[in-house]
Amino acid sequence: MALAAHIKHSLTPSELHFIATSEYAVEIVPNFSMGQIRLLSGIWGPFRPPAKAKVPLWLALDLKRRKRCAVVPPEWLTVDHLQEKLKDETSDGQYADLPFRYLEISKAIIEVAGDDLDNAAVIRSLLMDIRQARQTKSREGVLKMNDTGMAMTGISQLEINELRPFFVQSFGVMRKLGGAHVPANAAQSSQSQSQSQFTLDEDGWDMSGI
Amino acid sequence: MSRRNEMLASMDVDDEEDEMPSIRPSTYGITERQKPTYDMNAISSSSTKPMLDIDELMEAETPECALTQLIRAWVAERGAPVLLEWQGEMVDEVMSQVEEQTKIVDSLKSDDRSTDEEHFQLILVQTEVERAKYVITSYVRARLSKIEEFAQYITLNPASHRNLSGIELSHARKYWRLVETHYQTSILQGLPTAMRGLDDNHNGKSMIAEPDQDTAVFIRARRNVGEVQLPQQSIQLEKNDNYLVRYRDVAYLIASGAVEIV
Repeated sequence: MALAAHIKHSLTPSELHFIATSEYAVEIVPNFSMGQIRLLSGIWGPFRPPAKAKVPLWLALDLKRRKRCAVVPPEWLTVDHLQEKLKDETSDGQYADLPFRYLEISKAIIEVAGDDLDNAAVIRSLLMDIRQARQTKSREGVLKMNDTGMAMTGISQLEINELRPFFVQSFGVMRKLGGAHVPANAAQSSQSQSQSQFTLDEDGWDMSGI
Repeated sequence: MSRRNEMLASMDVDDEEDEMPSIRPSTYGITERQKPTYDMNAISSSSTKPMLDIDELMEAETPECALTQLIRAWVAERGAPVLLEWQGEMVDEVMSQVEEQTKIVDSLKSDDRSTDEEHFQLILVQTEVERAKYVITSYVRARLSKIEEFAQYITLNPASHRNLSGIELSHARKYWRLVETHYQTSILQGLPTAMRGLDDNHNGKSMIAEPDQDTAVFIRARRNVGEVQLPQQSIQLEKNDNYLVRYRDVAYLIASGAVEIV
């Protein structure tokens, strides 16, 4: 088989790491001087310390491993910002506003360039708290599931990956059962008593965020 | 010392007398630098729409490189239940870029006039070339997996051929012929004629494995799409919204590039 069964229907965390490091660009402060460099992903540089230069994350990490630069943490990867996000996360039903690939990016930066962060240990524990709060929401969101479409505003890539096997399969099962569960608003507008047993607690967390 | 300075000076720009291929001519993947078009008609017509896509205008200024597009195609291929259209142009583009970079790397490596800085650049270029190769193989593998799974369906349905490249189609046919011959010689020959079929249809259930278009996929809007009609409900799809939907209901949006599979 061209693909092993377990990676066939979902991307693996290491593949997601690869995608995030290709897609995301960060600023670095190089400690070497070099002109512009042309790569497949574009023209980067010039590198003239102490000026900052914007490069793809993989390049930043590569340079950092070679001790050729310091990574400038993105503005969302700071203690203050994350504390704020954690507050949002715990006080509000929706997912807080974080980059789509925040987990992959922050993990990569903390691992390789932890010494460039202001307080890597605190940032790490904040990220873990945020992640936990979001996981709880995702679990509660299962209740809102239906077999036509479900909004997941603000969810991140890694969280999607986590939920994918279960959600995709449940989606299929619900479809086979023939719409035993209809979206809460549709159930309300139609009278249907038989469906009320499937209508979920309206005080429950609303995953749709609409 | 003076020789070194000379070399440092020579690597800075594309010197005409320098026959070494340079590592930094024009941008890859962008045939013509797209300038943001400020078409007055477009602006006046868009003023009727409440959503003026500033983001889209910004994006138009920096066209994506072929590699980024290929990564998206790979992710989509992994997520979609059906075989998507073969992105031949994209693959060719990345392949030729990889080849070109490899050629430059080889010639600079063997040239002892290369400077330290150039050697350092070479390492970075090589790293990215390896990354690009990984994307190409991953993309092709993701497709191959589906092609083999649905080889019989593809062989029997000419309509599905347009999404395959020539090599993929011939692989699908050969693969299915092998599987079929194997089944025939190992088991089916020993069975009564009525039970030898590999494409029987029983109670509406076909033996032919077919991609299931009703599989759920996670999508993410790449721009403001507006209202999308799903069975039983309609949704507002704005940029960066994530949804879990049936593949069948959004296939046209995925094909147009308005949404991506994540």
